[in-house]
Amino acid sequence: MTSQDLQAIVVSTARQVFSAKTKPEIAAILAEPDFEFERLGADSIDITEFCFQVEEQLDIEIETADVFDHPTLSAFVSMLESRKKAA
Amino acid sequence: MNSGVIFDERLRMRRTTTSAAAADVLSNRDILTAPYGKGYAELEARTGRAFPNVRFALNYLPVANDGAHHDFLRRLSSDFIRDNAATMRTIRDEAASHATKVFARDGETDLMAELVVPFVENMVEKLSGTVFTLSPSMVFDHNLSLRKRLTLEAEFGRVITHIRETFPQDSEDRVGIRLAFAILGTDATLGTFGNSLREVLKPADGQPLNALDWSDDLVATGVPFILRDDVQAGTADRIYVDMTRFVAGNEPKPAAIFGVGAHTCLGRGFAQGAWRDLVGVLRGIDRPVWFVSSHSPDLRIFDVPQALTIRIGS
Repeated sequence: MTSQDLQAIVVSTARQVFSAKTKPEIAAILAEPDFEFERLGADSIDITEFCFQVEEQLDIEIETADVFDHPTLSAFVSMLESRKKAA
Repeated sequence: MNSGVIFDERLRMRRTTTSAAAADVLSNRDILTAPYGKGYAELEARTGRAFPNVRFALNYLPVANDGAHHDFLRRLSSDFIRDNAATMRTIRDEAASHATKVFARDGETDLMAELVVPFVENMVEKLSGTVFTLSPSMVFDHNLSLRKRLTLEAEFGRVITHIRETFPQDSEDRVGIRLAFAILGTDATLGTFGNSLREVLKPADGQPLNALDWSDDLVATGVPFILRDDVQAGTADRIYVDMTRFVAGNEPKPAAIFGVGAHTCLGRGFAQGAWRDLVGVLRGIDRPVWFVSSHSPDLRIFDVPQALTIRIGS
């Protein structure tokens, strides 16, 4: 799975969990090439569900702290790539 | 509440660094327990995922509840302790007897594996009819992966079913309290006994065991005190006590191993009694002992040594 594949999964999952369809401001942030998760204004339940869904799709364990430790799209994808290789 | 409280980057929570700060926080009547049950209920409501066994457990953990329900759970707990006095006496006697055998052997011994874990497993088995296959205090961890949460849910389901089958006369409240004691008793007891043994044994360099400074009271805790800012939307100004009581820091003898305030440890009497029984045995042994090493993993919610190795005899 390439970095682009991982990024596509992350963005697609974020669009769904963070309600990009109904919130234009969220859709705009998610359209940026390297958005910061913090700007999505998500609460802990949304962040948790986002991690759950990414975990299910990639079959690697993800904790909510991973989002805080890797606060941008590129950093998060890079973390996923490393973890996927190590799995 | 500022002095003695730090933000722990690893835990992403604030925690106290002194017993005075912990006592200050815990005696604040306005403070609330972390909303563990509410968190899982919201997760279920908003995502459609189901964690009924985790929620069942959280509903019966006194330390995870406030107000009238907390009062109710403490009454249930007191009744449970009273009704199981004979069982708890047996657990203490068996632990003391086992300690005699462990300290009769020559060579290196990991006291966590040989003494503390068997004691705690025996306790949990007698109270719940089974032992956990994972650390049940994961229920307090806000930062679990989906896989770990599902594993926890399945394990609690297994244990709840086992309790119902082993103690068919139990009411649902009694099943819940039995589970709560098994959960809270596991890592809290492992950590408090492991850390207390380590504190006393650390200076050992060939002295007889009975020459060490054995205290009648437990001297270290496995339950570091942690706070968190609530991260739920709209309540960011709330401060919650994350589970427990106590403490932290490098104080040689914290003033409140079992906490203060409304959530003071319910197992205090049992734990102190078991420690005194153990110390009574160890004070009667004159074999030389050396501290070899101890290993504690990164602090999560509980502080449990993974190993505590000493050498006994020549």
